[in-house]
Amino acid sequence: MQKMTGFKCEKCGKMFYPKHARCPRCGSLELKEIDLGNECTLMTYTKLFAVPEGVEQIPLLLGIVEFKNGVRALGQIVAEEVEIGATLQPVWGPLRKVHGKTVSGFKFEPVKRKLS
Amino acid sequence: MLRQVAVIGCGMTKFGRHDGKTLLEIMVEASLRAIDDAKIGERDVDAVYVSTMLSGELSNQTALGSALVDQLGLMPAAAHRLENGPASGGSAVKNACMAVASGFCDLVLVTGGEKMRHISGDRITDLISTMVHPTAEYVHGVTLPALAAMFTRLYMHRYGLKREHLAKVAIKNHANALKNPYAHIHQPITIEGILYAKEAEVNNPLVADPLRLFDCCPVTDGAASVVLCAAEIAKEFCDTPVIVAGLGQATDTLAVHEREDPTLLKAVQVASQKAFKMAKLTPADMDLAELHDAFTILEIAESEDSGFFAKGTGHKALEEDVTSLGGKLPINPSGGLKARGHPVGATGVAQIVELTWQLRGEAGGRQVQGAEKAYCCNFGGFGNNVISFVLTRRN
Amino acid sequence: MSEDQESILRVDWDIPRKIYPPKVVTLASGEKLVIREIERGEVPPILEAIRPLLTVEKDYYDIVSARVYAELLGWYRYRVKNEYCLIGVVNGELAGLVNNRLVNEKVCMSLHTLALKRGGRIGAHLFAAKQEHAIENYSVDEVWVTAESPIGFRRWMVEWSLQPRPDLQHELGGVTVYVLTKENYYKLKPQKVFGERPVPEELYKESLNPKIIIPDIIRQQE
Ligand SMILES: CC(C)(COP(=O)(O)OP(=O)(O)OC[C@H]1O[C@@H](n2cnc3c(N)ncnc32)[C@H](O)[C@@H]1OP(=O)(O)O)[C@@H](O)C(=O)NCCC(=O)NCCS
Ligand SMILES: [Zn+2]
Repeated sequence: MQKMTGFKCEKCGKMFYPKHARCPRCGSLELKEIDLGNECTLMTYTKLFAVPEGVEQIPLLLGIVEFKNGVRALGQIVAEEVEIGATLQPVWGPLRKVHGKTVSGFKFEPVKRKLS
Repeated sequence: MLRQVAVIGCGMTKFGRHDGKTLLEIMVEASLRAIDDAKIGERDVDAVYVSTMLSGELSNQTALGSALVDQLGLMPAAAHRLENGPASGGSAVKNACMAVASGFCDLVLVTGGEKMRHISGDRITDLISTMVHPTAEYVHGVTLPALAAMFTRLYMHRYGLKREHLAKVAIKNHANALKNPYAHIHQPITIEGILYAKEAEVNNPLVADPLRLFDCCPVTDGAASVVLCAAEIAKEFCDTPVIVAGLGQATDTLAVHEREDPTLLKAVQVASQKAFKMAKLTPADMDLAELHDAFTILEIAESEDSGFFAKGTGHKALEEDVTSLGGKLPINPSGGLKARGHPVGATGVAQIVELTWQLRGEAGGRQVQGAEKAYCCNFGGFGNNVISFVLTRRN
Repeated sequence: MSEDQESILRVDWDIPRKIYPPKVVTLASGEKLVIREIERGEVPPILEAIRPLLTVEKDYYDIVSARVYAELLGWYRYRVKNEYCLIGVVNGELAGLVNNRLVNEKVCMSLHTLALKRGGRIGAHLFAAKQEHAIENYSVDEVWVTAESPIGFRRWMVEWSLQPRPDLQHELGGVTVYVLTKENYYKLKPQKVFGERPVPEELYKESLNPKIIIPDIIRQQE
């Protein structure tokens, strides 16, 4: 399974996503990839009805999530309904069309907890 | 600033639909009005700054600086086209101010414009979205209303803002626009019709939950133009020059999720602080403000981050009618982006036009009585590039 | 033309006709939109209201208005069968109109939606009302819809999540039919179909001889 990667500055330790050419905090060029992990929490979201050309799904659920290490990301949410605070996990899949070509990336889906 | 800069002329086209006219034609129309208003006669214009975001994509024309100079017969004036997303207009005015302040130019023309109503809604939505982060936002289907909606939800969650507050911004700005003949939307709206009635579901449909139609600016055609000159020669042209007392610009992360506190508009804070500092004035000195209310939430958030109200209390001021026409600090007497409309490249220039009219006492039915000092804020991207101005009347 | 054909057309309705019970809708402005069905005899002034639009190319107003014109005139002069037309009146002014035609007792052909006042979502309320009439009063199983403009397409197909039926052709333009089924209608009804009945007498009276206005799209072009 593909993992969602973030970045960490070797010099000052700042972690971030997406990639920047230089560390947003100290300007260092020494950056390494880090695994963002399999669990994140939903911080805010929207159901988008006025979708752009290239998106077919209406409504499109979008949200901002926060991983355990504090790094955040934005993405589509694969669910009908969600709530702030929900636990989600990244999954790879098609996102939208850009100039007629399908682009893929990570989206987020609710973590299904095993019944104990 | 090295030299003081004055606004000596301004003009606009009606905002709305301009079917059958080209972008260049509406820019010419606004420019001619500004030049006429400035009464510069045969005086040479040293430079022209044109702001537009999507002229290449939507009007099949680029390098509009050269085209406008040619139409107006202003050669050999220097000419530029400036693209800085929805802050293009503010950027153009700022760069023009710097040209005059530095002594490099004496007389400059700034014209902003956009023609965007002739293509389908999903296509314009996509084109506007190209300003967000390409890999972290755009490919996911993010639009400007979507970013504003996520911002709104967080705001409501954190500060107890209600849908009524958002509706109130829209109702106020629609009412102001009824007094502005240049505004795109001349439609009174009521809380009953957009929120409480069952029919509101149809009247005011969801665009990006929780934002609805009347929380968003419309897609608009239009152009706005100003003539600036060195304040020391302004009296040659007009009796009531308006002075650019302060300006400031600041940026923030491109991707909204990277901001430490995503409800904080840091670029608005820094840009406004710089502008007030340069003007040696404070937010409390202002008689009115034009804020970049592309979405109703933004008027509230910018009223806080510009320094008028403490964070999380902007909606209280709104409740108490502080920001209505006739209140202590009228915000968006023009109708704002919400109702005057938002031809992206024109907006920043249109804000300067409105402040100038207000400070000269020429704003008609929406005049803020005795206005002497005014503020505006032009907001690019989703808050990643902001330009603020403080304008004052010189008596 | 054979006697036969003429006698078929002369009966302007061969399905038991039901009259749409008028209703009143609150608009964003707080103004009231009265929606009521018109009688054949009321067609001529409506044609006058449409006439200025016949040359407006923008948003396909010319095509839509020419077709509505022909459909209403056809109904008036007994050239179209089983057609009904609802009008929307705001402050005593004609704000928009919609028409449909029953193909038989099971199927309704959705014809046109023409808003003379723009920006007030009047078209959306009128569109909902004409489908309400077909499904709730005539109890057809389905309404066949098409769109002549991209705006219409987005409005109706997407907002009403209509299903394409490539095997069927619409009366207009020969394109694929999109179907609004009874089931889908009732599912969407709570979010789409609004209005109060009965209409207060004063308001109803105002809607009887609506004033003909210059359509917004024409004023904007001046
Ligand atoms: C909100 C939005 C989705 C509505 O689009 P829509 O329903 O397709 O509306 P249309 O553009 O077809 O306009 C139809 C009519 O509705 C009215 N209208 C449209 N948007 C409106 C709005 N936001 N507020 C009030 N009235 C509006 C207008 O009167 C318009 O009529 P006109 O053409 O005679 O002026 C669209 O306006 C939008 O995307 N706005 C945001 C634009 C944006 O992101 N700008 C950049 C921000 S930085
Ligand atoms: Zn670092």
